[in-house]
Amino acid sequence: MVTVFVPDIPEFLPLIRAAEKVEGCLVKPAQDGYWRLESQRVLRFSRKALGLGPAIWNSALSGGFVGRIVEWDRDTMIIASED
Amino acid sequence: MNTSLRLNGVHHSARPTWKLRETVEFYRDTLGLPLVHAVSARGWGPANHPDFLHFFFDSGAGSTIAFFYYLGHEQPDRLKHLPTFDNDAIHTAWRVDTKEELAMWRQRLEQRGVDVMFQVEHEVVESLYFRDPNGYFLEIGRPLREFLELDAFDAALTLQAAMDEEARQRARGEQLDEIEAVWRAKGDLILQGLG
Repeated sequence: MVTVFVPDIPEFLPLIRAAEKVEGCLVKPAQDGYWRLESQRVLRFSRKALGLGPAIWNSALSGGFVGRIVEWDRDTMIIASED
Repeated sequence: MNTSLRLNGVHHSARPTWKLRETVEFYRDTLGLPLVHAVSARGWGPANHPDFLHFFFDSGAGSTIAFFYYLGHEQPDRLKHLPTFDNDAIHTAWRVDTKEELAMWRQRLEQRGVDVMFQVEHEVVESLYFRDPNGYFLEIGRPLREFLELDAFDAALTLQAAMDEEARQRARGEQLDEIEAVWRAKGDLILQGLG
């Protein structure tokens, strides 16, 4: 299981709106301050396709996450399950 | 715990300068901050402590920015301000309240020949950056929003995760050098807390 916690504060809303468009990404509404982006095996984001700026891209995981970063460059982020 | 014990803003922050005239003209004339106080003293303490001037400029809301000028003292290399990220981490950021005020400050600086290096909206503040004659990094910013309770909660989690992870890595003889480990530790803390 991959889980990305996203703080429920205004700067991160574009990330939530973007994640809702990502196939295989389950977006769970904020609970105790954090949205959850979840996938059983892998989460895959493209910065350009999602229209995210560099600032939010570089801090996209700053709410904490469970999993491991497989790839993360200027345009691609792949986070995989550890199990 | 004494919850009534609070600090009440900034009285002054202070740095040394080896450019007396340039510093006075920049803060008093270019920025227009009133010179409100100056101490001039014969050296005290160690015998080689030079005589000095210590002067204060009003930066609003009761705050000042202050400088020491040591007479007859050559600037040591270790105190030369280098335009690098770690040197520039030491900086003063003044607050204005509106977008219009920020634009007026930018106009004032540029009209007086100050190079506004960049202007950026980042997280909770929109800021413009420039340097004083000493090379010191300065910032004027307007808050984009107030801090929320969740900001404080999230900050506490981030720092707890970072301190825990650093301690774990040090115990293994390693150095915390990637933010990924902090984010993973933070994810674990949230999982433990939220269930």
